[in-house]
Amino acid sequence: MRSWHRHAMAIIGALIILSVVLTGCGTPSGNNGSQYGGTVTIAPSPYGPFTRNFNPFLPNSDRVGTLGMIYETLLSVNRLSGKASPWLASTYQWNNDATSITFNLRSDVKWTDTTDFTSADVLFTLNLLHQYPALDGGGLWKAISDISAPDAHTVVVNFKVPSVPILWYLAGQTYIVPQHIWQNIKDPTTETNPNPMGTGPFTLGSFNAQVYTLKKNAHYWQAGKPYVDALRYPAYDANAAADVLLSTGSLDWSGVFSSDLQKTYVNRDPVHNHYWFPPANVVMLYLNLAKAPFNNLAVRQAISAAIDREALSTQAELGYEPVASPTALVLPANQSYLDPQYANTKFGAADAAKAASTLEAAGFTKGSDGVYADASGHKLQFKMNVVTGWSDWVTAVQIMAQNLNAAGMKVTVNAISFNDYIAALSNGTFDSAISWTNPGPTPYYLYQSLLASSNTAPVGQAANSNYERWSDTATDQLLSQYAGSPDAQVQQQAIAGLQKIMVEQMPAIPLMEGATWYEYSTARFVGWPDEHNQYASPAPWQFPDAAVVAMNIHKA
Amino acid sequence: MQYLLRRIGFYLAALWAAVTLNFLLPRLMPGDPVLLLIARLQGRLDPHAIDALRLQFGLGSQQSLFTQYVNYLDDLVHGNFGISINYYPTPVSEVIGTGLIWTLVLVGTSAIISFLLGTALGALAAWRRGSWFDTVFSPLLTFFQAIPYFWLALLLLYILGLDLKWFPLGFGYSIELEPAFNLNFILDASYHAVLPAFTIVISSVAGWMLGMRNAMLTTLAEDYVLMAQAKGLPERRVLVTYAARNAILPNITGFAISLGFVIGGALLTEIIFSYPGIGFILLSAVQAEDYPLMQAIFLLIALIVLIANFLADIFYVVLDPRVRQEG
Amino acid sequence: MAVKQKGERPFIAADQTLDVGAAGEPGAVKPRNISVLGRLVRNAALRPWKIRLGLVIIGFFVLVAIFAPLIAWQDPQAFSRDALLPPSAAHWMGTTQTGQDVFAQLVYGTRVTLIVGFTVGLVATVLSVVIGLIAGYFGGLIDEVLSLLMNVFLVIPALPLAIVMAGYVTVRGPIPVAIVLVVTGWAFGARVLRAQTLSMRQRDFVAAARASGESTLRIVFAEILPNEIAIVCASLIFTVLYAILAEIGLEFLGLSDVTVTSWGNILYWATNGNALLLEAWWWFVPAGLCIALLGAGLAFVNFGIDEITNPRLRDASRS
Repeated sequence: MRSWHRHAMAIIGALIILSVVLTGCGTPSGNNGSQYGGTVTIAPSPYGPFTRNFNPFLPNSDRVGTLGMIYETLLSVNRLSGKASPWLASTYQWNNDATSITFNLRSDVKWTDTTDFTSADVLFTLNLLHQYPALDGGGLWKAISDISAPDAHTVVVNFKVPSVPILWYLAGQTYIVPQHIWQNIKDPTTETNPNPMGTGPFTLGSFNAQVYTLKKNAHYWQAGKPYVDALRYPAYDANAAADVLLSTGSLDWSGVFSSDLQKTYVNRDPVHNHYWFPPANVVMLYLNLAKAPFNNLAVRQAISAAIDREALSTQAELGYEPVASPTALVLPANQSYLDPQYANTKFGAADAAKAASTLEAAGFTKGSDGVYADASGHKLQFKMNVVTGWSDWVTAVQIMAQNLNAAGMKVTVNAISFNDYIAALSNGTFDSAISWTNPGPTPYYLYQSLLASSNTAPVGQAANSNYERWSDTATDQLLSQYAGSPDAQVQQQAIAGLQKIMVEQMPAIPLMEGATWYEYSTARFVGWPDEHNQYASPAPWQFPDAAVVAMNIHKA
Repeated sequence: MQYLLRRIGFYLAALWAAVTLNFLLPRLMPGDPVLLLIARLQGRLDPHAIDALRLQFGLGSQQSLFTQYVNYLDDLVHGNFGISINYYPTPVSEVIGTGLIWTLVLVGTSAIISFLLGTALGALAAWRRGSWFDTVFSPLLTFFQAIPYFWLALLLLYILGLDLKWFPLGFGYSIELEPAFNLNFILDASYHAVLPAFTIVISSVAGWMLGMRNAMLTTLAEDYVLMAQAKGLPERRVLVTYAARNAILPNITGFAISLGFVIGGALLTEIIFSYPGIGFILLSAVQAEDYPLMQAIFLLIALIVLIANFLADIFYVVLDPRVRQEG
Repeated sequence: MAVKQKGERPFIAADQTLDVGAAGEPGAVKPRNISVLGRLVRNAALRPWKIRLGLVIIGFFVLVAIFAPLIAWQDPQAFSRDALLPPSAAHWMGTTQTGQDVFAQLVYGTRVTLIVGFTVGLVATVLSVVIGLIAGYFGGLIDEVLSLLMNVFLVIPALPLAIVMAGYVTVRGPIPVAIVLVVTGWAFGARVLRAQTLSMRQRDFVAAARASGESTLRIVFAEILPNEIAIVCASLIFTVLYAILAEIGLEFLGLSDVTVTSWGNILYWATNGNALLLEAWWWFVPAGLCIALLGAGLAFVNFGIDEITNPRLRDASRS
């Protein structure tokens, strides 16, 4: 029962575009152009029953069927490679000091009611986010100083400070809505937008609480796409239900965590049933650095040394999630950023002896109860938080607790409700917790959300994402060095410095690489992204990436 | 008639109690889930939406408890159960909307089948007491009534669905169909309902059978039954007209009380079968900690049970001349 | 889940006091000097095989719970690389997806299930004895209010209420679950005891006690209560059965602490781990069978007590 929250929360991130040269996105191989038609049945992560909410700005709408499918972004960014492709904007240019960006929009795009798409729509959308900060999930207006439209197909955005990484939010994650419709909407924060009207490859077909469909937009601006007639989304409330559908071959495309897919899915039809789980983020053990003993580096190192990551990977995650790199880079996706000095730095096997010697060197002694205590007698005794319904993580935390108890610490598993868990994390009222990181198309996004002091807060106040409360000027300098320069080499240096901080100071303890769950069947449709053709992040709950997949698949 | 009026009075009191309990729950529970909830939604809701939530849960509200209560009742009367958190800003009533009919049809049908079957079996077991039928069936069903519904659902799904492939592996209807009121869809939906209904019947039939058996045994020793037998009336007539008709009365009361248990079990059954009813919505509400949705589902179930109880009472009056004479 | 029938008329909140001594009321038991408990003990050794069978089953599980460490030689929580093995000599009931021994989990899980079941049963029964006896003995307005309360709790579906209450508890675990089950599980026993006390109150021995100036408290708890021991036992057993089944249901929904070893959690993890699709029957079948067996044991005791208090139900051959 891995809750949808995990995706929803983990999808927050950002992107940067290094070059002005835009690469085209991959196209399905072997399409002879005659493979039109068919309805694709899709099960993203568990959600349902549906409510008719297609508001692209609300966190609880049917975003899977809205974002990218109906409403589109200025650019399309491949999360796996970090490459940006033209979309509603055909080109864009940064100024020299990364304080202003100009987008040139396509002139052949129409809303599905045949109205022309123009720069006025883009300005309107951005101003909407300004007017209603609750909708501005990407925090665009923290950085934007002003926006303007010199003509019907040009948009200029100016920033208060150099802001290279904001491009991903601005162009890759901001969905443009039609001004002529939305200007009449009274309150966009509570609007459910039951009849969405966008520029995208699909429009809403039929809707009820158990299943809804998206129909092909016959006049889509990318001629000849999409190939399929419709997308069908059945509702289901637990992974087990999706697994049943998967095993019977009723699904074409899904994004669920499922145990033992090889047996329940692939073996039932080895020719057609496939899965591919590209790593997307790093699952961390967060230690509350605002309190003893976790503010002691030796304790963090001892905890890290005692953890059996191999067991986490094979037993808790059934081998789907490889052991993480100590640098917290997502490998192999971020391989090009890996500092050569860390090329062979890997976490070893669980080593209780090493944990013990690290602790003893730092002045800890083992008591008669077998638990280490510091010089003043404070025992190494703490709780480890996890959400009670996220069963794979519950298992992971149980394994870690067993490891650490064997290494002379007293750790108890604290399985709590999601609300309680997230409140403890953000307010800093926890000892330790397993949690995700927020990745983006480059490593900067993960580091920035994990380590930037602007993302943390004193204990008792809500932190955005830096839950462990790492606050360090050297780290902040490296992050702004990256954000302030479009120069790839300067950025690379900054990322190398951040790797060093991760490896040597362990602000959080990397455990395993969070996977992008993705299962697909080639029985009815082909042209799916796979390991050899990574043209988009493949999960149906990744938006707007899923729209790229939906446009490229076609009848087998 | 006076009897029925009294019962209506009681149901109104029970409904009021359920509604009040529902109002007090979030305000009485230790800890403050709603505060946590608001913490979780921070930054994704604008301040006035948060204020609306606070009001909904009586949090940090300047109003007195009584004023809040009056507003809450007023909302309920207007069919306003609040806003779902998981589906914000959709009203809870809209989320529940379609699930209700599925649950009503499934539970209604299976409960009635189960009740009739159980009553008939119970009457038979008592009539043929000591026979092999009674000796084998009564203990066997004792065993059945202690089986958790959802586990039986798992087992049936495993054997009849996965292994023998006689039935679909859950869901309310085939994924390719659009819900519509035509023969094709109804047949498909009925086929999908067989296993969940079967589960509910097997799990609940025992209670009614054993209850009926006990009531029958008591009745069979009554003078008027012995008298009827002494008069040489045909066995079947004595069984049906004299014994069973009187014995069924306490069972009808039992039907009403047990219905709450049956619905509880049916919810869990729905979850196993991914059946698109209230249980399915309840699970997602529990997982997403959507309190307004959970509470509305509880109220709705309470209401259904109260209505069913009232219907049982009407039957009771029809069947029991003594009550009629009182009126 | 059965509701024991007492052959009574439906509960009428507004005028319960008129509703005395309907046909087949357990009040048919004549009070004597020997308490019903004495008769129970003597009878239990004699005829009702149902009680004996039931007690043997319950006793078996109690022993398993007490001697769990001696019976299961593996740590129920220990993970291993031997995932999803079918039953074998090394793992009598196979292993889970994370290589935990199902047999050990089943044996240790008996503890939580029994402790929660019996604790809830005892606490709820104490509550129902106090409320039921007070309502039945005093009558009048006190009875009106208490009767309304118990009838309302009877008619409000218990499991959905328990689910909502458990959902509100942020720190999950067996203790909050037990509290929720006490709140939702006391009314049944209270109602039966109230009806019984109502008829007891009319008896000569109560009038005699009152005339000799005994305190009300003493009359209720020292004179009337011993004569209702059988009913108290029956309602205790019934409540335990409710508590066990509801606890399993809540655990299955993940509303308890999923890291505790208990029968409901075995089923939670099995459904989560796709035991069904992996055809790992050994993972979910034994726990369900144990629940049903223990439940049947409790139900048998209940019926046995019924047959003692209501002689007409006894297995005599029909004339």
